[in-house]
Amino acid sequence: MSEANLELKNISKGFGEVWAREEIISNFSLSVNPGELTVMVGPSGCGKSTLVNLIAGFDDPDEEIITIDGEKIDGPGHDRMVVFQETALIPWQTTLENVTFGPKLRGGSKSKVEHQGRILLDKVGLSEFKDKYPIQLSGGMQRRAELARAMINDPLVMIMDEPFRGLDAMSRELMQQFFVTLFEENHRTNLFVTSEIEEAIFLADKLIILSNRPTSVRKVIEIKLPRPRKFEMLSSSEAYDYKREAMELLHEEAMKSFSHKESKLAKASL
Amino acid sequence: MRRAEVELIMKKRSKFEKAITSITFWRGVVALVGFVVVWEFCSKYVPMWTGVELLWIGKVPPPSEVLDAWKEVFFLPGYWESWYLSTGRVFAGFIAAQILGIPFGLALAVNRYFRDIFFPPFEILRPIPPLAWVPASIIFWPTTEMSIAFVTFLGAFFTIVINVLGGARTIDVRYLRAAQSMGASQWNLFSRIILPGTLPSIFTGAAVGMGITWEVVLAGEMISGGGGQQASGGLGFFIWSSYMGGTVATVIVGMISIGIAGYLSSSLIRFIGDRSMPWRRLF
Repeated sequence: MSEANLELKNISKGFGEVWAREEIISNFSLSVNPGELTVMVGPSGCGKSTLVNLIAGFDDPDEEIITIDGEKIDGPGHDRMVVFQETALIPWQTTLENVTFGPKLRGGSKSKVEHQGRILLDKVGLSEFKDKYPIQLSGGMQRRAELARAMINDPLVMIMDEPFRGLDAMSRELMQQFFVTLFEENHRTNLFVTSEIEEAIFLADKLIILSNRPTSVRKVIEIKLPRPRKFEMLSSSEAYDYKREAMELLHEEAMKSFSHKESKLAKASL
Repeated sequence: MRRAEVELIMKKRSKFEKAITSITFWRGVVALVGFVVVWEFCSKYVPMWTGVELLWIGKVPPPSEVLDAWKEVFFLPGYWESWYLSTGRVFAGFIAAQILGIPFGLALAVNRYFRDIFFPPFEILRPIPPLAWVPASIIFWPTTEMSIAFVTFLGAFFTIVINVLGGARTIDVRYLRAAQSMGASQWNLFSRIILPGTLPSIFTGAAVGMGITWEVVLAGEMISGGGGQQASGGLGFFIWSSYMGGTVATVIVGMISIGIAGYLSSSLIRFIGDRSMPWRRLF
């Protein structure tokens, strides 16, 4: 399978005019190793989605560059597929149309692309639903369709932006299991963003703890749980240690934002 | 097996059959019949039995009288010509408004320069009620027919444009981004995402615009139709002339005719809307 090295070097991004600029991301460096599942966790509102937009090319960083296999990225491209928060399946396309949308746009032959689409739908267990529209699918099915839509483009890197958010606990667990099996099958370079620590530990090869705003890397934790992953592993003492470490760091970061806000409020009240 | 059989039976029954056996249909029938009965009772029997003429409804002829008046005009070619003329004007104005309004609204939505230039004048013209255009329109256009058509067109145009613009601007940015990262060109984005994404608003605009064109045509016919010449006729003129020289019952016949015509037109739009947006009629 395709492997890639995604490299972010001293990325910064801020919004607003020069005199009232708010830095969202500052001096952010990260490398995602080929064939690894890298998971980013951070306190809510820390700029995870901004980071995803930069990597996907929907937005440009202010400073420095993002590279894939040493090549600078320029705008959106099908070498990086994003699976968005909640569903971004196109409502007026059937499941099969959604999945085959990308290759068809790029001029792939219809029969070949549709054949490939059917194989992928089969893989994610949706062959029966190929002619249904997204609103006819359950939350979990929508996420699986979206995975298929991303995979058919054979990206070098998959970027998942809290892909299982909004699912009920049961479907979420099923999707995690499904996703991890899929990953272990093909080891496609993956950058996974989440705010759930257990999910992060369950999936990750490498866990990136993000700092509070402006976002930078607080700590990188190697998760050395064996693959294939099983949910039972989460109750091992090893997993517990990872969890505690991550929790402590995240708590510190969250408290920083809290005290920062408080000091702002205090200033305002003076 | 059993489920498949049930599905087959369900499919065998036609849409029409399903519609007339549904409870919704019969509730509608009961409501209409009830309305007519109450009307007949209040306008005819209450005064007959008690000698008291009820306020407002007492002045309105009962449905039985209206029905008689209807029977009278039903076989006159003039009545059907009124239908024909008004419908023709409504559709001419409406279709012209669609043809110009949809591209204009889409252009406003997708092109910033176009929006900067054309949106301000559009927004100043928009609040002017179509009927305020009538005198100016009669002066501008050589024939009365043309001025009615123009005013009708305006009635629908503004509504359509505002709906298209609003619809196109509120398309979820994630659809555009997803398409972009899969390699969509500008044209792909427009034809595969923006256009289908705007369809629901196009049909909302069409339904509202259709209502407005009926209003405007009728008023236009009342104002200008009395003048005779080419632009005479139409349901608006039918009502106006019944008021001037006929009976109140005939006026009500005209009013109900408009109600029916309006209902048929919006049903047509709903029908086309359902056909063109299969993803919207699933639940």
